[in-house]
This record gives sequence, structure tokens and C-alpha cells, in this order.
Amino acid sequence: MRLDRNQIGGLVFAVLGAIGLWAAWGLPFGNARLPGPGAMPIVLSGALVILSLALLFADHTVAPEDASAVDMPDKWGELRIGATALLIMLYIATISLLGFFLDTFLLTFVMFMLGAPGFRILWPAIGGLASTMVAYGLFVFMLGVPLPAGSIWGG
Amino acid sequence: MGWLMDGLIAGFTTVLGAWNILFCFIGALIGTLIGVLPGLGPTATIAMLLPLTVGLDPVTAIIMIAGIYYGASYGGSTTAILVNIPGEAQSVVTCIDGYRMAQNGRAGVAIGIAAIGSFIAGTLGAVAIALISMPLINFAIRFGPPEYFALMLLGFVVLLALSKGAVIKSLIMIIVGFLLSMVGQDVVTGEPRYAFGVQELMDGISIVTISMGIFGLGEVFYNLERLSTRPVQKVPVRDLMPTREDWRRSSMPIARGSVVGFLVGLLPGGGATLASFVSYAMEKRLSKHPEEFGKGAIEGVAGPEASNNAGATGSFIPLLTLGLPGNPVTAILLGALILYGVTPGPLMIQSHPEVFWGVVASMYVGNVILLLLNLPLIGLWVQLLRVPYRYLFGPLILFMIIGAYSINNSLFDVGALLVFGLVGYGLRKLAFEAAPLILAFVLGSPMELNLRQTFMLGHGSMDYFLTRPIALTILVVSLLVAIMPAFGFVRNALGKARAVNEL
Repeated sequence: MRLDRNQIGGLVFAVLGAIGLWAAWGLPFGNARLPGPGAMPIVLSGALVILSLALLFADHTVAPEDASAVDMPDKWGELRIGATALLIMLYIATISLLGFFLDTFLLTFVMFMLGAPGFRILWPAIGGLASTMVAYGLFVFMLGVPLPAGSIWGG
Repeated sequence: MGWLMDGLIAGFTTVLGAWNILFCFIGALIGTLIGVLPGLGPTATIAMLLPLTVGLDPVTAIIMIAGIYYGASYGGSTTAILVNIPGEAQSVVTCIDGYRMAQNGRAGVAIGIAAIGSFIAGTLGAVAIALISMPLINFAIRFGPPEYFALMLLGFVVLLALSKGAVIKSLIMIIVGFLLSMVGQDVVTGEPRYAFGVQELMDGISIVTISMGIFGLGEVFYNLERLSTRPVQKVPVRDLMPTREDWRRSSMPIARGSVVGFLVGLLPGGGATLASFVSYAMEKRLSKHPEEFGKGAIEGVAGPEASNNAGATGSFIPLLTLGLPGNPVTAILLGALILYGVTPGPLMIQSHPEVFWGVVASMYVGNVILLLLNLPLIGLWVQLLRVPYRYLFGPLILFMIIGAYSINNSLFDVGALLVFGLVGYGLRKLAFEAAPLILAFVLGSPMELNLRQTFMLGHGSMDYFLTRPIALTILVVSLLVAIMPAFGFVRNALGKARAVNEL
């Protein structure tokens, strides 16, 4: 069975609502005179589950443009986003080690490569170096943001 | 009227300090810079640039944000006219006739009248804000928890009535926003909620990371999916000044657009986008030559451009007087103000008069700066438009990463940025509107606090509302707004508004 956008959304938010219920269950609910910290989370998570299930099982014939399948404009599109997200994760994981300058160069270099119309090395490298130097000058020199210097440089 | 003049003079004195003018200028410049980039509207631009303002004093920060806002809005109009791509929803209407004017060789006039129309509307709006706010504040000063709760409820009901797409999806977004606002310590007892033992979550999620992720990074991801290069025609831009005939045709649309836009801007869920559409429809109906609309009628640029600027100004009133934002831009602004230690609301004008009057005056000054900045620099903006997205996304992402990091000098925030970026992209793909989510996120804590205080004050009995006539009236109005769409004629009228609304 192929799910449409509303059904995927309904499913995701129903699960999130259930997690919200589970995580708030242990909090004191309080009473009408003195509602506790758990009251609103439990009520809202419950409402989220119910609304999401309604969206999941609703009759979707009413709004055809809303229920259309996920659009797919470019066959590399989602791959590019996945790769970029992964890059950012790697960047976070390695910045303390490599330091802002080297890590940022690698990040922007690969991002320029991802964006290039074909396989290129020289221009992405120049673009990456230029972006890194501008960012370094602006944020580290001028604005004094204490970005990690990198432990391999003894920072 | 004395207080008005005193306040305005104080406001202008604040804004016209060299330091503040500089930041207003920088804001307008970077705002336009990002605003002309495709797919990045004022919300995304403000969200992305917010970290730059952290650390400035509140007045300077808010003046800079105001500059960014006007710059971004204006950048959107420029792309709409020159390349038929609205930088944001509020410029969609400008595409219709503005782009046709550009094709007819009148790009310069279209851009010129858009700037002048915005300037006039912004000026009228700033005066109106100063006039309306005082009585509203004097009224709101008597509000207690039940009144605030009822007002926020009314806001969400109106938002749902005006929102685009299925009501159930907007409701889901509102609830998710509320739940996200509950991450961290409970507002009354201090008990941790939804922190899952993570130290960084104890203080709650920052408005900066959530808005930058959903509106900034999410938009970049969405655009990254479709890297196709768009054709940028060479449109000669010259003769920015409108002719006498252009003036004659534009003056009334600008005047009408200013008034209507301002009124629409006051509505929760209203704002610049809806204002521009209302103005376009109105001008087309009133025109002696409706057949020219869609073929390059200058009224179709002047009216909506004035209207969206007035709408933006109007949407500041509920924020400044009641502390209640009605659209994503003002929601982010509210979050930012709280971050700077200023809580907008009826008490703000007493505790921080310089912020209130500074914002009012900066709207005016911001418009002047834009007029001086945009018209001469038009060549530069056109050049920027030609830079393909494939080369832009890297530096944009880097900028957001550093911005997120700089708030607390913490990598945790960069991770949060990525998570919310993916959330924003996912919502966009699944056709869920993010605007109700961000409003609910910002209003979640005050709404919960006011509701719980109402329960406590009323000893758990709903009869308490009967002793509060203002709160009761607002609740009844909310109920009416909620059931009105059941009537066919209301539904038809709402259907038209909802189809074009950005929220």
C-alpha cells in the first residue's frame, strides 16, 4: 500500500503523540484547583494521537491536491539532502579534533562539490577555501566567536 | 497628544543615534542580500540572521531586526519584478503585473513604485501604530490570566479559520508547537518535562535554533532538492522614477492599500501576504481598466506593495501592545525580545519605552534607508540574482551552523539546528504549514501559565470566567469564529482568503 502525504504525516504524528504520552505519564497530573506539570502534556499528547489517527484514516478524496503523492523533482534531490545532513553530522563530530578552519574547509569543499554540475575538484576547493577564510575573518577575528581551534593543533 | 510627540521624538532620538542607524543600515543591507536569494523570504532571513543580533543591546538588536525585515521584504519584491520569482509569499501578487511591466521595459518604474509605495505605507503605518497602541495599552493593562488565555485562544481560532490547507493539519501543528514549548522546566513547579535526562534540554529549546532550523535550513534543504537553474532574463533597469501619469494612477491604490493592509495586519494569522492579495483584488475591482490587470498595470504593483508593507507594520501592534504575535515573523521577534530580556506587552511601554518607540521610529527610518539603499544598488541585486543556487547553499549552511553555535558556544545547538532543519524539510514535503507550529511554540509557555493560573484563581471552577466580563466576551467571540464557517457564505469568503494565505 502506498501512503499519501496525509497518511505519512498522520502516522508520524500519532507515534510522536504516543511518545509524548509515555514521557509525560509519570508527571503529576494535579487536579482542577491546581493543575500539575503533567496535565497539559498528557492532554495535548492525547489530542495529538487522536487527531493524527483521524488524519491517517480520514477519507482523503476531499482534497486531491493535498493528498497527492510526495513530489520528486530531481532524482538526486533526496540523496543530496541526505549527503548534506550526513556532512553536518560529521562536521559536528570532528570539529573539536580538526578545529574550525580545517573542518570548515572540508565541509564547504564537499558541499561545493555536491552542488557542482559534474565532478569538479579545483573550483570547489577554491570556493571552500574562500568561504572558510571569509567566515574565519568575520566570526573569529571580527566578532570573536570562540570556535574550536582543534586538538590536533594543540588547541 | 503630547505623549505621542514626546514618545516619537524620544524614539527618533534613539534610532537616529549613529550606532543604531549603522545597525539598521547593516540589517537592511544583509536583509536585502538574503531576501533576493530565491526561496528565502523574510521569515527565513530573520531566523538566519538572528544570532548576529544576540549580544547587542535590545534596542539596537530590535532596530537591526526591523532593518532585516524590511530589507528582506523589499528583496522579495525585486526578484518578483525582475525574474517572476517571488522571494516570499507576500510578493506573489507583485509577480503578476510587476513582471509584465519588466517585460514591457518598465522594470525600473515597477521597482521604483514598489519602493515608494512601501515607503508611504510604512510612514502611515508608523503613525498609526503610535496612535492606536496607547489606548490599547491602557485597556490591556487591566488584563489578568483569564483575559490573556482567552485572547491567545481567540488568536489560534482566527488562525485556524484563515489557515491554508486542512484544519486538522494546522491543529496538529499547533499541538506539536505547544508540546515543543514544554520541553525543559515546568513554568510553575520547575519539574523537568520532556528533557529525557539531557542537560541542554533543561532550559528548553531555543527560539533561535528552532526557527533557524525549520525556516532557514529547512528551506535550504527544500531548494537543494531542485537545483535546476532558472532562466534569468536580461531586463534593462533604468528610469526608476515613475512618470506623472504613473503617479496619477498609483496614488489612490497606495492610499487604499495602506489602510486595508494595516487592518489586515492586525488579525492573527493575517499579515503582509493576505494584505497584498486583498489589495490586488480590491484595485482590480475598482479600476476603470480591469482588463489591464495581469498585463502590466502599475496599480497592481503599487497597491499590493503598499499593502504588504502596511500589513507588516500592523502586525507589530498586537505584539507590542499585548505581547501576542500573529505571524511567524512577529513570533520570532517575540522570542528574540525575551532573549534580550524585554517582555513585550502592555507593561513594556513603561519598563522599556525606548524599545517601543525605537521600533516605531525604526520602521520609518528603515523605510528611508531602504529607499536610499535599494534604488541605487539595484544593479548589485540583479547580479546576485544570477548566482546559481548550487553555489549558494554551502555558504548559507555554514553561516547557519556558525550562528547556531555562537548562541551558547555549544555544538549541541548545531545538532538541534540540523534536527529542526530536517523537520522543516519533512513538514514542507508532507504539506504541513510550519507557521502555526512556531506561533504555538512561542505562545505555549505563557498560554499554559495563564490557563493554570486561571484554574488556581477560580479554584477549579469555570464559573470564574463569569466574573470576568472581558475574558467571557473574548471566549464568546472565539466560539463564534469557530462555528461561523459552518455557514455557507462565511465559508465561501474564508475560502478565498485561505487559498492565498501563507499561514
